[in-house]
Amino acid sequence: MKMTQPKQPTQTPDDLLADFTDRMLDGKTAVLASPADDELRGLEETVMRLKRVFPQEAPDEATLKRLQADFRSRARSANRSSQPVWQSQQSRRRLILAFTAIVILAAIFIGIPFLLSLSGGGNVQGTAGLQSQSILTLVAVGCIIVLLIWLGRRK
Amino acid sequence: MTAQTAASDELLIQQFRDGNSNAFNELYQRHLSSVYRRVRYIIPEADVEDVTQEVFLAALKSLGSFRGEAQFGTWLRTLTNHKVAEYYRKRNRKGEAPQVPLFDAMEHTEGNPSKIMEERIALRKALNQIPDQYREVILLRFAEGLQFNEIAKLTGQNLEAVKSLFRRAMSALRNHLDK
Repeated sequence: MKMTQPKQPTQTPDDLLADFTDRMLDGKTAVLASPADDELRGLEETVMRLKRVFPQEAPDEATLKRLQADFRSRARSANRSSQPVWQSQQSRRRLILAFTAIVILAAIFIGIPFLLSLSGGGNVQGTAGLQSQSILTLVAVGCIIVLLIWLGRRK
Repeated sequence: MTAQTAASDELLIQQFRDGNSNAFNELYQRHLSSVYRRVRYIIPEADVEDVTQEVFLAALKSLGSFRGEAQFGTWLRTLTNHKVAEYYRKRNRKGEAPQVPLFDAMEHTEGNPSKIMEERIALRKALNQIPDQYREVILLRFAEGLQFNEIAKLTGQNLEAVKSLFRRAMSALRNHLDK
């Protein structure tokens, strides 16, 4: 009676290379598995080369900590720069200043002719009324500049 | 970027959307190593950390629009590939050399002999020249350490197809290295 050997499933080159890669990456082998097959040997050499050149381990603890700290700082900066203009504290202060200046200027230019007409300056013929108006405007502009400087320096 | 953390990732994303900024820190810590390793295979040594951080900043910015159709790890992997492509686009616009000079690369990797650095540059160059699906299967196996059956599950292919793709990818890589 003839003894029949159980047939081993034949491994394809795909399987052979995948198995070799698994063993290589798990550190179970460091030698070529298919020295007889030129093509496969070449591919195994490339696998070994990749493993040798790029270490598999994760970055060390110090690098990870440094990266985390750097990321937190970058995220904060990115968050600040992406805030709408009116949400930033500095921009809000500038907006208040600009608004205040506009209101004061409007009040002056509307209010001065009205005050002059009340005091009768508008009825006087000649240049005296105009002169007093110019002085008042200059004083008002000076006050605004002082006010703005004061507001700007305030924390 | 493994499949086991998917459920927790989703929970963290939900917590982040509910206003818990610490939830993103947790996601960052969880995925930092795999993003870093992937980037290291394809970006010059000097810029690896920078590009890694850019990936997470982009994730932080657009996490609100993440719809959860894919796993967070898969989404992050796509984001990484976009950032890498953007990096090379910018470099090409500036007309910089495709790889950093050897002495520059060596400054950032203490103790590595110059032979390894030269090989690393050559491998990066070859990896950037092979087709995307070839590069992807190599990165999943080597950089992220996924097993072939995990890659098959992730990409929706059968195991034989993945092994075949891997062999073709290694063959393409070898051809580029030999040029």
